[in-house]
Amino acid sequence: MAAVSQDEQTNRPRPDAARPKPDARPKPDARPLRAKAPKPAPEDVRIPRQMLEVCRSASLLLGGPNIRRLGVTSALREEGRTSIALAMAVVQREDYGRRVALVDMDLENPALARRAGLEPWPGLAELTRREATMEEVLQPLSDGVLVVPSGVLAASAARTMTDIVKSDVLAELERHVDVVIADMPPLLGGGPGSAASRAFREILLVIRAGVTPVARIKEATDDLQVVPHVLLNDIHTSLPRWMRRLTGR
Amino acid sequence: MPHWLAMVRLLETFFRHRLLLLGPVVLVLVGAAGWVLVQPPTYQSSVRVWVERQTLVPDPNSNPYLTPAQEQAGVLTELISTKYFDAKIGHRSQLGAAISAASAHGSGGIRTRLMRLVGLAGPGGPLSQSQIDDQVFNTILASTIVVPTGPEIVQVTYTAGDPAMASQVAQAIVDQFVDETLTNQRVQADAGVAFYTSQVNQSQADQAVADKAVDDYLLANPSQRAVNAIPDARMLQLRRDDDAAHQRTQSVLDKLDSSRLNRIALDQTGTAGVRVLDKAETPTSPASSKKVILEAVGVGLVLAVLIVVVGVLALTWLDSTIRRPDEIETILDLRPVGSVPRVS
Repeated sequence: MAAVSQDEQTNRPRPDAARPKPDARPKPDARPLRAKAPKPAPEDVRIPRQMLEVCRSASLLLGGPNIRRLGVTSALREEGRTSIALAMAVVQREDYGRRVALVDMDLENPALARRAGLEPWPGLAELTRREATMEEVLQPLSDGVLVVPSGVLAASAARTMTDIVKSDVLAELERHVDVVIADMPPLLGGGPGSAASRAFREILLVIRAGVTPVARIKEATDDLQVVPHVLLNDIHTSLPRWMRRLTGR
Repeated sequence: MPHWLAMVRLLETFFRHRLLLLGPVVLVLVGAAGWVLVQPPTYQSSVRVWVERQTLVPDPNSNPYLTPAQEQAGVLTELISTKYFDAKIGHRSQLGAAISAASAHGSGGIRTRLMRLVGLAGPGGPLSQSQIDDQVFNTILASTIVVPTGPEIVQVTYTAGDPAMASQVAQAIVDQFVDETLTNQRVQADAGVAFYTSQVNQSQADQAVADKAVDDYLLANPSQRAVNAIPDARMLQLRRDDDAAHQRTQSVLDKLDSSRLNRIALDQTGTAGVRVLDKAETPTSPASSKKVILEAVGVGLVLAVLIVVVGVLALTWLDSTIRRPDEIETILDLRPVGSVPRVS
């Protein structure tokens, strides 16, 4: 990527990012008209080249063009989950020319649509409730990359997530695109992360280096029904350059 | 985890928290430098002593593989580490009086005040004799150096804040040592005289019995009295016993004379085997502060290294996060698929 925004470089969400307040959200039945043409990617969607390269390698290890459904999660919040999900989607599109659906399953703290500059609804919640069609929820981020926002919840996040997992929406999505990549909620913190993980056979666990305690990671992975693949995010060393050369790191 | 990985992790911890770790180190070094600067000048006075093996009263514990100077330096060091010896030095010099006066008029130094604050030192005011002896003991023990500088020369150096006190105490140490050595030898000589006196008495009594036995036999057997009489077996035995008693008496008499001579010799000067060559002189300039600086640098460096090592180990132990891709496998037993570097 030629231009990379500062927040994306550090993989941290911007605290001052505009976000619709719950009471300011439009009612589900008041759907605005949207242009179906892809919008130019906003600054927050730009992905660092290094992250793309790592996700490219990770994609190959995960199956490359054979991936059908991939959940990207983490033990805690702010580990770079959304950025990695975006990067994985871009890799799938750029490297294999596949149509990608990027699903925002973080119902309690949806960030994907806001970062992509897309409408926050209708989305996965509406699709599960059959209040919106597949064509309505799929919003183009770029050519071949479609975003499904989380939508507006009619019940609690845990209840909605259970409904999503039980329903056939993800399988239905798979029929519309080549690969479904989900930005899942974190596994810990009392959210519906654990419930969401049941919908995926391939899970990519994002760990922010030097931040997430091992005990929390183990606690998170203990509940998973599949063995996750791990992507270590934001690794850095404090060693001076001469010592890095000396230790070969 | 391989050793080199553990080492790299420790190094990373150090460089990550370098300000936190090096801050206390700088403080310790600044403190050590400050300590050197606030130290008062010290004065050293030395006495050189000639020592030789004891000849008048041979020491059965003498080690033939040590030089007399090494042997006597060891003896003096042992004596200095006794409160009995140091208290005598305190009385002989003005050290005890000076400590007593300082306690009566002052509230002690910074160290005493600090120790008093934490309850490790008693309240201020005049000290009892026992407390003075304790302080004299601690002072002499900490400020005296005994070194054999040659096969038969021992140098005793005392360091004090006052030049006159330094020379007084140094001289007092040696004088007390000479006194102790002499007293010891005199006691041994007295014991020898007393022993041989009792031996002489016993021998003389045995000799008198033997003489009487010979006389009684001759009285009972007049034929044996003639000048050309051939002594019978009994007579021969009695004479042999009598001669042996005479010889033993003569032998212990000789030893008694020797012991008495030694005892008398010990009352003369310069016969104790210890002789002062260079008396203590009042130093005119302070001692070099090199030792203080070296001590401060040594203590500072040891503390600094300790802080860094303990700090790095503690911070590494407390860090329970994943920092390197290989730890995903070794610690979490999961499969890593990549690692995204931080974009700076």
